[in-house]
Amino acid sequence: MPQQQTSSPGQGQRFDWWAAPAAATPSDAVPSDPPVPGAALSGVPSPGAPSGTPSEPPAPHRRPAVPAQPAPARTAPVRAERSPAPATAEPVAGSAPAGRSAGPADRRDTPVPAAVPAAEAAPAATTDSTEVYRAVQASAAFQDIRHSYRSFVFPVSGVFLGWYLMYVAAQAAAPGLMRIQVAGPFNVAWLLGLLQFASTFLLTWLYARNARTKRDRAALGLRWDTQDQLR
Amino acid sequence: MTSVMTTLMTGAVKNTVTTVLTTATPPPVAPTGDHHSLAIALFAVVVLVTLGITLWVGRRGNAAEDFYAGGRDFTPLQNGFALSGDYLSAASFLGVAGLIALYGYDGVLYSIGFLVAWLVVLMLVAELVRNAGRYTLADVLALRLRRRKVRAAAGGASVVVTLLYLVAQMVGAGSLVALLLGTDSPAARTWTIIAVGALMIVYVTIGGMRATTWIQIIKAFLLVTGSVLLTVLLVVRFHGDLGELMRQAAQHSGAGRRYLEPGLKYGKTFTSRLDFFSLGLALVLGTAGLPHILSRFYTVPTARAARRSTMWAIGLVGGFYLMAIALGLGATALVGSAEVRHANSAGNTAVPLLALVLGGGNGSTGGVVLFALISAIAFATILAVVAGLTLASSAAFAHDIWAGAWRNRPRRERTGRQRAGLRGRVSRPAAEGVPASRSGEDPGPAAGEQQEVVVARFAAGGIGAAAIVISLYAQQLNVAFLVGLAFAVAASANLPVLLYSLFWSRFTARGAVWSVYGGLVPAIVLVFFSPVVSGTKVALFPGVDFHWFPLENPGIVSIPLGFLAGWIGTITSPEPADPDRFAELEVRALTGAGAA
Repeated sequence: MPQQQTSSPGQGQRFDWWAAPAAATPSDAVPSDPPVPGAALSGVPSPGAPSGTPSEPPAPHRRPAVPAQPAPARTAPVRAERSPAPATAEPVAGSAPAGRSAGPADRRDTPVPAAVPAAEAAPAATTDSTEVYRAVQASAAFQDIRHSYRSFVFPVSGVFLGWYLMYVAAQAAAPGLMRIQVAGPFNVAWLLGLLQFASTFLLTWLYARNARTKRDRAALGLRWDTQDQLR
Repeated sequence: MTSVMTTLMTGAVKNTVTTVLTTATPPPVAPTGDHHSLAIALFAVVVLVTLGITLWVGRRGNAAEDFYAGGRDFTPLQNGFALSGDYLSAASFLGVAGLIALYGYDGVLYSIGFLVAWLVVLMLVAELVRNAGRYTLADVLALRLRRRKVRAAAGGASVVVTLLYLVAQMVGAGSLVALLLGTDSPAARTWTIIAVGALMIVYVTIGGMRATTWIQIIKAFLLVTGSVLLTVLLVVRFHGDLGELMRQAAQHSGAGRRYLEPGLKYGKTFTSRLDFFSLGLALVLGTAGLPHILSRFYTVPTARAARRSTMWAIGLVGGFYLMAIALGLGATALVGSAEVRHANSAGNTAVPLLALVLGGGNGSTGGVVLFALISAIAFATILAVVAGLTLASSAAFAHDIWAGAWRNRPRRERTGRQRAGLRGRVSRPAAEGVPASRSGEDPGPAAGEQQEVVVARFAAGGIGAAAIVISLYAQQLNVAFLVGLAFAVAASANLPVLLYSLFWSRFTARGAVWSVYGGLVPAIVLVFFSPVVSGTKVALFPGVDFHWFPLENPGIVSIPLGFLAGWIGTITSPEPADPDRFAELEVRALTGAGAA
């Protein structure tokens, strides 16, 4: 991984939040762009990456650049998704949009701009989108994403909704219990209320972690693949 | 139990001695005479700054993408602030703190639903909606159920929800400004409501989503800053002893220990308990169906950014409600429930009164400055939220009802749509040049969308006018109640259809239409026959009594009905669901392929 070549760890992180402003200096932004994905990647275990690529089966007409694809697909989603923003900020204002609209594909995989436009020219609008979507939906990669999403979100939603409704119902059903003093004026009702706050923050964090580690990368890879097939 | 109490009491004796002195300020009344001039000046500043933003930002683009989605180039942090700005309405800042000031723990109970609701948004809605839609909630449904009826139903429900919420905000505005001017004259309230309505129409028609978002961001920042300031002052006042704060609050509430226990407001009878359960259900499920919240997710470039903005929003909203609890308790402890109730029977002015006391009391410079500052923030809050609501409402009208359903557009073919989606993704950074080409729904896309935006601007004016008129007639209603109602309608009409569309492969167009109306109609009808509209002294029509539904909030009945109707509509559907369309929706929603 080439992550060492530019030192922009701070930039790599700030980026997502402050997008363009952080990209600041033109001279610096261009070279730093490719490495940062790598840098971000190093933090994330790469094994997940291949799972994004296997989604290929439904794509008979894959462009020759397939081997090159994993690289951008594997880039930590943070970077790849935001890449357009820094890109706009970097080169001379006029040339950036021009280059982008010319090669539609370059926006997403900044690291391999050359390979993509070439591939893009060939399959031009020959595929039926319905088949593509059906094929992608049936692919193992997509089923993985779907499973990791639903298997987290459904049970957790059930739990927090149940916990909240129980909390609300308990106020009416068990006022005696709610009145029990815990410390000073602080009673069980207040304790449960504050626990609702705590559980909300906790679940938010857990969900974000789950999404980040289990499905973001694969989903992003699949997104580009799907769009390539649709083109 | 009592021994714990006594030991703590003795432990806190030293504190009590000092705080008793500090809290012995005479009960404040609304500031008098020339002190209003500062507040009025600050109001003028808020108005000028927001108008300046509108004019400045509004010029940056006129395409549909700019008007509805602010160009989709906001960062997660910005959008997180904007989300919380949209969400933390006057009903929260004034209403929740006021409820806590008057009813203690039951107000806390009320505020928690607003926060937990964000988990539904975060987990089930935010990312998928961002990926699958373009401008409105109905876009998501239309992606798989391409029926004009579905669009019309969802668009109509969105307009109703936003209108209810708008009325709540504007009633709040009237009550706040009446207090600020130290007058209770109906004329002052009336003119406030009209002025707020006129301002919001200007913001939306000129500035669109971009200006609205910036106003939200600034407002959310001010709101959080103001709350932090007050909370810090409050905590300092109590020497960091929150137990003492609670004790003092209970003491000055007139209800003693019951103030800190559930039941002061919602627990008197079985009906009121059930009513509260209904409200809680509506709050926790309604947020994910609020059109002005959903349309915020389109202002960021990706689903991931939508998730991050939701996380920011949860942090800000959660922190804010924690502070609101402290402020509500503080208002009771330092101002007293009786005084709060005297100033405004719904408690809407508890926080400004608290600010007055924290700043040094009535007549002191600090008190007046703080009072004016907090009032101006509340005023900014009202302006920002009404602007966001008007925008969502006009988008639902123009994009869903007018363009999607009324102006019959047979050209919603998939190829055009997804190709357009793709092109949209690819060309987005190039921005202004080709945004309209993204529509893909119209033969002359640029012209069609341009026309749609014009309609949306007019719709904003019309909806604003309607909101003004309704607000003038609903002035005596509690802001918090109106908000609860809007949430109930959102949870009944919007959420079931949204969740079914996103997750249920067999969901059909008939199910969608039934689901929307099956939630919307019962919600409206039940409220109409509830004690809020007739039969009580505080009802909308106090003179007559035709109520038979005992609860104020219809959620507990109408939300299940919305889900049930969607289910029945689907299983009785003559035609089965189209698996191709669901495949498209699912793939797009989860991966972001072809996202606008």
